[in-house]
Amino acid sequence: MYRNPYETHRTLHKRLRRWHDTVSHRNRFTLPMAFTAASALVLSACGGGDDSPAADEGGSEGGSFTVWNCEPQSLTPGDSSEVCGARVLEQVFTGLTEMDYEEMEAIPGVAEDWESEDNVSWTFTLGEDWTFHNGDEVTAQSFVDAFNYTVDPDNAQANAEYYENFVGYDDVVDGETDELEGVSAPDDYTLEIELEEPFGQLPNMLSLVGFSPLPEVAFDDMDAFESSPIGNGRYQMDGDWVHDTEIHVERYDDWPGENPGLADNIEWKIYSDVSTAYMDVQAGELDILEDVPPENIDTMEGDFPDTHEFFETGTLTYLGFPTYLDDFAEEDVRHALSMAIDREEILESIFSDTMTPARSFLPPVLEEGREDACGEYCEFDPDAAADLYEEAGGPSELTVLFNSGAGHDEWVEAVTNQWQQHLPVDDVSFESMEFAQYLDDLAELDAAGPYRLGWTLSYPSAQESLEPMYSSTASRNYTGYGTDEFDDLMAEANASDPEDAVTAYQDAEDVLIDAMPSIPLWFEDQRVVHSDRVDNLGVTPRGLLQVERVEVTED
Amino acid sequence: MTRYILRRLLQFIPVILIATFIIYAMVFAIPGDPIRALGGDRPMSEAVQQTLRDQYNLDDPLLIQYFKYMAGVAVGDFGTTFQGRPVTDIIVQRLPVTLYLAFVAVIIQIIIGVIAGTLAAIFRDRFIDRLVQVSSVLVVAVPILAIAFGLQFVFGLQLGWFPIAGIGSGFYSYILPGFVLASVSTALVARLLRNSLVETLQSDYVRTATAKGLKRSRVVGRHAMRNAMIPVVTFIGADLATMLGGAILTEAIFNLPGIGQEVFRAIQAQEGTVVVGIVTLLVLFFVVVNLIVDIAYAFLDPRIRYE
Repeated sequence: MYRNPYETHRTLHKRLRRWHDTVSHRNRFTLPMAFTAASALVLSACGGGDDSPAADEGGSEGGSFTVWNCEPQSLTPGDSSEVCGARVLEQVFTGLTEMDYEEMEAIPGVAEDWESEDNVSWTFTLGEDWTFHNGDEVTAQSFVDAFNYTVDPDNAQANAEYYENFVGYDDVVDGETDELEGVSAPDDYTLEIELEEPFGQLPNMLSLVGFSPLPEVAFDDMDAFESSPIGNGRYQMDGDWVHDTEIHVERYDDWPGENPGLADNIEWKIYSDVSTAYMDVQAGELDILEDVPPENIDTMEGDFPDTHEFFETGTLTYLGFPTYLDDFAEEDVRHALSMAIDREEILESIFSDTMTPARSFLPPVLEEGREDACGEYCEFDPDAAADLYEEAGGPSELTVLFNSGAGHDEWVEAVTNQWQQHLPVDDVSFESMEFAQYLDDLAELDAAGPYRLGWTLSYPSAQESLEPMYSSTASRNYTGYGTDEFDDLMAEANASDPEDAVTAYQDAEDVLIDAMPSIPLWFEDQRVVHSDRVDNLGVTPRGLLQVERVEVTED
Repeated sequence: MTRYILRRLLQFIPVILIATFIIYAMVFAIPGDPIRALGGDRPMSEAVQQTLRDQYNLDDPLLIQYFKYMAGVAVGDFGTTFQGRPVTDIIVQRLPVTLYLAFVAVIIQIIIGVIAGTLAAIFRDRFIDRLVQVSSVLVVAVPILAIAFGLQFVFGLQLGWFPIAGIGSGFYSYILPGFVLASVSTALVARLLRNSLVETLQSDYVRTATAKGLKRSRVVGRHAMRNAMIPVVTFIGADLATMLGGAILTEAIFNLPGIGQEVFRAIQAQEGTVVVGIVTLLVLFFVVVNLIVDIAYAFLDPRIRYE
């Protein structure tokens, strides 16, 4: 790693300044914390268990690598709703279905096949050679038990809500019974699911870790189980989850699916500060960092000329409107505000052009996503915006809200500046508050102005990127928007088979664009840097590195 | 002396009680519903949230919550995080890291600070004195972040002598963060000791000792040093206690899973039990270290006696 000294000095200076900004000015910390098992004194790169002969043959199989992670909230599949845990659990567990991220469709997991006449009653036929890592067989009952456990409110599992469309969900939540009426196992290899409302996207949703099967031993003591979960996935735990430090997995050779994991061992190192992880990749102590922080964007190409990559994701940053306030009740006021934002300029000046401007609600990474669905309403046109704003009687003062300490300050300020500059308004201000308090205001429909939120696709489906935020009955609809037209179109799209659903979801999106209950701003691009020991990286629409397909090219 | 120590130990009880209550009340006063925020941009279902609120007594008024917490503590249950991880587990895992770091930092501080301060005092107004003075001002002036990054960059990335982050290499892992944590205090110790020693060296009893024909090393080492060290010991004691709780920045940058970071995280997540558990422990450290410092005075200066 020889560089010219001037370059080094400049990089140092630059990074220093940014670091200082990050920690003191923006006060932005990544919360989970940990350490890395790495010594710069040891010259050889991290290895261990690299004696697989396959590695020599084509460099495609075998080997081991280290990859960044944050501290998971939980490693119980039903209770893991965030990405730090999902990175691990998606490898340790395999659900009924998996996602093919090329075709964006559900493919067999434990279920070999599934069918439904009406998208209400579903029958899944399970493969017979699936086992948990302790040797226990995976049967339909493993799913039934796991589903019932996850939904039972006594267990307070974060993923319970994904089951709300299952028949019997309300009864379990109300405590009338412990078992979901709509889930049954007529025999060991048949699982039947009965839904309240037709839902053609069910196979996509079932790829979520919250629908994983659990072995019997899990129910003895879920807390103990969590420290080294026994799953049925491509990889099995190699030792306990060392909190804030590391999680090791090794390939499970009896995994019967189509695409087993390539590397023999994967080691997640848990970091508290992503910039530190970035430096560890530079020093050769870490193979992959899948989410380079904004402060390192400028230096990334210089630091990793051949080993940095960008991946589009479905994660949307948007500004929601409190449409329940008179000021924002007019559709054209909302349109005008959207048209007065120059997305490109913000992305260029603040994110070095490493995000994709959003001109749609549906992410282009999905089949349904159309890059320019929004048309003129997402096009920067200050004159038209000003006229429209005037005509529709937009408020003369407005305040943009965001949660503090998460790195949103700069771009929110940029948006307010643009509004101030391009619209006939007296004063545009911005205000931040702690996340918990912020969410309280949003959830209680007590927001004073447009607010920032983000949305990550838990499972790749158009339904998932629209319904939870804009359906009139959704608990996370903070906009106050809700129309029969949108609800009906959503219901119709949900009831269709996947092939017909594409246009149906797009129709629903068009209704949203006309109403614009929120302004789509940009889809997040994930920036990955890695060592030259690894190859074939891919990132899912949720923003998770597909560690199972990473190839270790040298030991 | 024993009676004095006993009396001091008894005083701990009200201090701890008051501290726990104040901390609990402060966490309680943070606005916003921590359970709703638990799910990030995607809060959990209402039923799940309610179960968690009940489990952590979050709907109770402050006093009831506090008494429920203390009732648990009385039977050895220090509560859990919102993820169900016992606070005691966290302390057992993280405290050694923080203690190790503080220990390394204090050793660095004592060795470098005391040597530099002593040399500066002995060779007063000579080159070495000026060097100590200038370099200590420099260290105090540079932000700790810059020091941390500079050390990481030069010794971790460029030279590769020490790990950039983590505790995987044992003692080596703690050297860079130890220097960062000790940097400002080392400079202060050096200056403090220099001034205090210069003053002591001019006092009558030191002159008497010199006049009696004692060797210079004995005059400085046994007679002057013992008195000159009193303010330094006070400082190091207070500093040690601060390091145990206040190493948040150093721990974050060097990715050390210590106590400081956990307190930071728990405050943000409004996990009252975690904050109270750890901070109370830190308060306990603080008073114990203070007690030890007070006792150390008696050894340094025979004129100080405790009844």
